[in-house]
Amino acid sequence: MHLTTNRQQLAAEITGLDIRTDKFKTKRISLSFVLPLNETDASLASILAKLLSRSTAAYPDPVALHRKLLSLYGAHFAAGVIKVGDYQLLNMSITSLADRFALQKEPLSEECTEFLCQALFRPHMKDGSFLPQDFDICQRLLIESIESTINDKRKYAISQMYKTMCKNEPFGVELGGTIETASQITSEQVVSYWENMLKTAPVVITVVGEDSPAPIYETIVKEFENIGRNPTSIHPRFQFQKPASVTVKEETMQLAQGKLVMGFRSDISSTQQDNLSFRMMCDIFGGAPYSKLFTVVREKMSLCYYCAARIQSQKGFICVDSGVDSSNIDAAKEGILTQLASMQAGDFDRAVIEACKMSMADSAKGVTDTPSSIEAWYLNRLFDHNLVSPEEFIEKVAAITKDDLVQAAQNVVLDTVYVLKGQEGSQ
Amino acid sequence: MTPQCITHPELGEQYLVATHNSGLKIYICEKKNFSGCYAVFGTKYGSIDNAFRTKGQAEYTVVPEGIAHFLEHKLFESEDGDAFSRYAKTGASANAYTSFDRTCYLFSCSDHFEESFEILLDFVQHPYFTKETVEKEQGIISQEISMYDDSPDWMVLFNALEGLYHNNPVRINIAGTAETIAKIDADLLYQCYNTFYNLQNMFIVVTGNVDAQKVLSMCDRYLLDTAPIEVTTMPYEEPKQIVRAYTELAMPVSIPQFIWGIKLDADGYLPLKDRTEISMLLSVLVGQQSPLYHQLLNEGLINKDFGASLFDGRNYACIMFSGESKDPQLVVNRLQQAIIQLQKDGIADDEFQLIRRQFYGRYMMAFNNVEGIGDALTDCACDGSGLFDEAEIIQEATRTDLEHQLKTLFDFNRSTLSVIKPTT
Repeated sequence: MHLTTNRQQLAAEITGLDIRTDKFKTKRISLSFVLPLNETDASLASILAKLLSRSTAAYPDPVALHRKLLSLYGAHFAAGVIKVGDYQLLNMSITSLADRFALQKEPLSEECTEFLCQALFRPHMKDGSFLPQDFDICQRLLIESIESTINDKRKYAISQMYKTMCKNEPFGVELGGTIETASQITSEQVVSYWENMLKTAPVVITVVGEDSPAPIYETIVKEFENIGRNPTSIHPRFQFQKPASVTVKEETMQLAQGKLVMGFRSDISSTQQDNLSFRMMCDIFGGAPYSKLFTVVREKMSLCYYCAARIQSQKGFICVDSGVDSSNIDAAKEGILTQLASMQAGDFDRAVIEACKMSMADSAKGVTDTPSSIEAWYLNRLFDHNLVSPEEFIEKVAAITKDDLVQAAQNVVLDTVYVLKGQEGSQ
Repeated sequence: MTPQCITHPELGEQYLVATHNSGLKIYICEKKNFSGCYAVFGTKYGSIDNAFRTKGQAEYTVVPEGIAHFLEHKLFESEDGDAFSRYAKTGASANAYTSFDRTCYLFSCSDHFEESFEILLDFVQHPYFTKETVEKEQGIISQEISMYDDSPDWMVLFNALEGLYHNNPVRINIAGTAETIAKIDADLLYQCYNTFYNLQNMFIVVTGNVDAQKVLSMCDRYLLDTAPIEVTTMPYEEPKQIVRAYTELAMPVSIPQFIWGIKLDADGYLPLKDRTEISMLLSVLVGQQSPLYHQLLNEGLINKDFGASLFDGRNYACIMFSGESKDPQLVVNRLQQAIIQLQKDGIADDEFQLIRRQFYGRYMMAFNNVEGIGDALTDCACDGSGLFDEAEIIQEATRTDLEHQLKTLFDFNRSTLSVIKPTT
């Protein structure tokens, strides 16, 4: 059975994404809610995800809930939040063995759908409230999670750059919010947030497996019908905000290695063909071992172990981050800007364009090889007007020209530089 | 080469194992309904192989710490350029890693497999080291080492290993230090390469949308005819007892991070049966279905980062409980109490059956992933196990087996606590 994808409208603002294949040993069912992003809502969504995955009305004790998952052959059950542009997605999923592998022919798909519905629609509550112990634990876990962002210095530096660059945009809000917002929200607020989410948020139901998802869709849609929805529509529009000047932020910490993170904005509204030229330009600039940042700043200049460029496609951002000795930060910054200038001048040859096309086509072909990569492909393109499959993506990549790439590079402007330096004596 | 076909009908999986004239083993798992492929060309040489001699040599050579990893970086370069620029023409995504007991060069691709495989077989077998290229790499690897020095995950692990082991080279930092890598030169790299990158000591793993016969014929064509080299690693005395019970390091972290490690005896690799039973036992003890896990969570002593695992390889094995806690010592005390209690009470049968069901399911689900199968076959290549052995072990495991492990594994006198505490 070849892999097929079918997207359909199941109800107002409820989309079904059916990824049909028999190549996996699993069945994956997930629900993704599209939600606005601000600091308070970020905390609410994260605590809600923790509460919904901790216990349900049917399994009020987390020990019992996890024992149930073990009985479903160790099914993976998770709830979490991701960012897509200026929005957050609360995602809840369960991945189990496909029915054909159940030793006693148990209807795993049916049981997992029921489990997911229990978690989402009938969480463990008393008199319409989450139990104080459950709420307190989830709140503590969220606060510790926010506090721990400092532990991974690379991620911390990137997050600090985006906070600075996007201080007036939802994208600059960290998932989970701040320690202040996480500490201040109440259990009652989370209940309201949950109820509102079920009633109004656009939802995508994704099923990856070999059977028709119709029974799963039917069960879940019925749950939504019982609630009575009044959904909102979300259609974000890209707006380019040209920076008036470059913002620089510097911190010091007890560190052996400094971090340099540079945030760039690009006017992708002018870019042709689904931002492909923007993606490819960034790949040649700093996304791969054949890229300018790797071959020049890392290999030739020998300054750093990593120096990479990553795009944020919905916002038209490029983030270049590098781990470099604090004494070499200026040289690294100079090197990075020099390489961007060379991209803008068209100083890259046909061989590297072909390498980029081959690499992107190769990656796109591999998207269908895991359930999570297929789902991520479509969720990251949630707001795209024309949903492009991996196959269509490959065709479009082949058509990009050098002029497209040069124009994409010329659209890029530096917005923010964040530097994390080691304190004197710590290097 | 005539491959042996090993099948598991219930799983619906099979793979081939063939042996090249040189002694190199090749593992191939065809998954034609997937788009991608994954190939690994590895050597059973890692950071623990720091002192050795070959047959006929009287003295052992002790090499600078970090040399296996340094060699991995340098092998990508050749006189004409580097392997990445060759892979750029095929679209493959290439990488490599050095671990304690192995170094692996790998790529993933969905197209042009043969061209990429040829590149892999070529550059790994043709080293090129010069004074200039070695010096250039020292700058890059120094930065990598600095990055690890700032990583609490890395530091808490190596502090735990230094606390457990006196002389076992697993305690050596894989990347070395700025001082040790400064001693590396081209001659030493060639010496290590010629000793350990001998085909008899190496293996190839290929999984995914490939043609097994094509892979085998390419191996026949491109693998060099090299004579086997007999290598002996320098023996060392590793006392049963640990080095120290506690290590603490201050770093900029939010709350303390810890590893509580318990030393086990290991001669070679632990048998897969033991490894599986220990993993199952740890799930019984602190899995998310365990009362202990939720007691510790409810009391604010652990968070979602907490877990337990077997850390093992060639001649080393220990159990590690790790996570974040405002009071790591209290967590250790509670774990010790729970272990003692479980030893008294035994394991409930329904608990055991649930864990076994979980392990069966998780084992099956791992076959979803071409790279995951490739990494599992890499483990088989190193430790001599079969890909489907674990399925049988899970099926035949008994509660008594786990209780036997429970009674013999946990010697608290052979344990160390490594803590990374927040800088004040």
